[in-house]
Amino acid sequence: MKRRIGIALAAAAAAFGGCRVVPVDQTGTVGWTRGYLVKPAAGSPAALYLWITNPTAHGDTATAVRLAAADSAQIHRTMAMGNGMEHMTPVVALPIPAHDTARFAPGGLHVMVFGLDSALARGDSAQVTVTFARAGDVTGWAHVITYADVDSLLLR
Amino acid sequence: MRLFVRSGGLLALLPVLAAGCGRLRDTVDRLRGQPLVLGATISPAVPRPDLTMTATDGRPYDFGQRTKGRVTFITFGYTHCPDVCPVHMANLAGALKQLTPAQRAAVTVVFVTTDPVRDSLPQLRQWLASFDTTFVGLRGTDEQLAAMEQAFHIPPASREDLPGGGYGVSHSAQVFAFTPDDSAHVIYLPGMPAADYVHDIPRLLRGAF
Ligand SMILES: [Cu+2]
Repeated sequence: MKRRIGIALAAAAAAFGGCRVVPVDQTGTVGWTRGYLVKPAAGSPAALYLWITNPTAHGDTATAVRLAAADSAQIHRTMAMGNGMEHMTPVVALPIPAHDTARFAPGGLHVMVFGLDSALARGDSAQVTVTFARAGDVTGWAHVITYADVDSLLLR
Repeated sequence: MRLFVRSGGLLALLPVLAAGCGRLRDTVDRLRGQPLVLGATISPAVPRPDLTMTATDGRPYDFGQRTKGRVTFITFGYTHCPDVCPVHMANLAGALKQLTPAQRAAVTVVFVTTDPVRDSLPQLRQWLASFDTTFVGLRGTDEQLAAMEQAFHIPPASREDLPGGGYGVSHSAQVFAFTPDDSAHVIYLPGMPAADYVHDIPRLLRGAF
């Protein structure tokens, strides 16, 4: 809503203020089209998978993630090391190039979520805020699912 | 199948078909050079190791003896693992639910913790039970774990600190599948969907891979 008003104001400014050009990147903003928060088994950290899209003409960088219902969260990447080993490394800054989408998925990128409120149940929504270098804080939602749902929702 | 119809041998094969249509299909697929399973076959196969660790009931679990002759899926990991391990366990659990009771009874799933510091036996039990209460969890001393890893020719798991205090454990991420010949000829890589296990398990039970 805030964004729509922003675009409307920019358009109004362009119409009435004379020569102000509306930048291309205001046709859409950085955000996510899919968000799945996997409820952990037995008090383990949770995993959050986002499809972060950047429809703007400028590259952006995701630098932090936080959840209203968790203590902390970090972006991690699981990497196959070629010898059958999987290795998990923190991603301090995740570049999202212009007109590109970062698809988080098992075996690749995930947000590791520590201290998630155990009251969250499958079917609930969890509030997520991602901080971007350009776009700033973007708040949205993720669907709470279980590991049994990952096969059909995230591996296809 | 068509091969036999053309040669007029179908009638003669009816008893064989009744005995095991799957075996016939295995033979045809093998003749065609088609892989029988969706998992990846490995060579040389891993012999079923005769090693003992501790099960979640606190008792010694002799892996070789307890799983002898059974289709056995075994994987290494840790319960704080965010995606590779729980996805393996969830997909295996999902697959087992789709088997016949007889097939289901013939399969064992074993999870070996590579993080014995955080994975106490109760933690391991609770975590596994969230997928399937029949899954076997094994925990051992450093020596027992190292012996198990060596038996599968996998590099030892290693601890990697994460910012903010916790740590991850780099570990072998494939699931090994033993067939009734007490060898693992087939492995499953991370992200293997339940449907692929459902496809393979009847074949593994027949020793076809
Ligand atoms: Cu992680």
